[in-house]
Amino acid sequence: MLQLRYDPIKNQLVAIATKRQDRTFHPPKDFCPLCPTKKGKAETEIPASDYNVVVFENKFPTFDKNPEKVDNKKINAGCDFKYELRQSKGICEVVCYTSNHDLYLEDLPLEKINNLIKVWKDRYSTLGKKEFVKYVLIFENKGEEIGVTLSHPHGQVYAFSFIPPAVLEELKSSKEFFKKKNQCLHCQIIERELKEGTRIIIHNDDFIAFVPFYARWPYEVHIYPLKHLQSLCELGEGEIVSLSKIIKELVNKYNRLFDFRMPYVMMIHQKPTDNKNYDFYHFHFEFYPPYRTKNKLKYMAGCELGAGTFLNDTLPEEKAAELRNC
Amino acid sequence: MKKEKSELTGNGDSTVDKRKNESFERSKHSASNECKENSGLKKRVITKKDGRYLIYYSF
Repeated sequence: MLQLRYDPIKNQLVAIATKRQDRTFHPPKDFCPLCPTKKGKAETEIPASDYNVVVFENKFPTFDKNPEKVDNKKINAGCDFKYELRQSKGICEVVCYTSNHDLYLEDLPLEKINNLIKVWKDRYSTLGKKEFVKYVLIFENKGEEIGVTLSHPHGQVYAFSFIPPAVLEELKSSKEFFKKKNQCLHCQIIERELKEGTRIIIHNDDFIAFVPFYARWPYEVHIYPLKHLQSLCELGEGEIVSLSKIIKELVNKYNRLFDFRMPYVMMIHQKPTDNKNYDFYHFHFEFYPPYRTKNKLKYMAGCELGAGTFLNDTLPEEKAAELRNC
Repeated sequence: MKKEKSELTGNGDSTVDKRKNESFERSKHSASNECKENSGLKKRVITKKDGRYLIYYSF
């Protein structure tokens, strides 16, 4: 059952995807569905003895490429107050970074990370061209603490038929700032960060990584292109190399911080793909690691879930210094 | 060209003021909204037994 149900109170859509309850859950390494198929063994998701980067449709998707029509009359029969179902149209892809089960993103040579970025560009461009796709979200969930069920290094791509609310908020504030000041909000933040320097983790010719002034997670880091760009599509070869370097360096810093592989949620926020003008927007990466100390996790709890206000028990400037120096 | 649609959005601005401040203008000079070609990227698409597509990328 794949449905979009509209919450009229929060003015948001909720994706119902019951098939995902059956998804593969922490299989032993020998039965990893993202590894290449070994001779004489059962076929994995990838029917080849080796691969470079592979993308395939998720077996347990959140959205449906060819959804059935919804019947709002049927679900509302005899009811004065009407609920609303929408077609859960979308595409969910898995991106396998490497055929090597034990190599994480940060372990890959720069050349391989460059290639992965080119694949991200291609998925954004290819999926974004589809008529119904309004937003392409590229992300990676890493680590059991985040709820990852397959340890093979991989990320995901969701092609949405709507612009998700977290992005809508960013677009709204970016647009309002641009209308008032005739400047890009994100460019102004980058300039301020460069001027102050206290929250910067890494800075190279084309990108900057910093803990935001308004960080919600203790070790939250955003990576921005210094140029005002709206999507990965606009990156040239040299900028791709710079991006690979900063991602690799950041994630290795995360790993050195507590001497274990830091779990995280990584996402790329780019302009929507509905062909409207988003010149006021500035694409960027956001990293959310869940740890607040070496052995303590930060949870989304009452204030975050109940009030929508994040509590950060740490000072972003102090956490930035820790990351910068490790 | 894909048509504009505004389902649940309304945030796109086709009339956005093109005037930019100095830093914005400077950065836009080197930016392009077109998707730059991925040099050397090759794709081989297959259809799996259950109908899902799978793409092998090589470089």
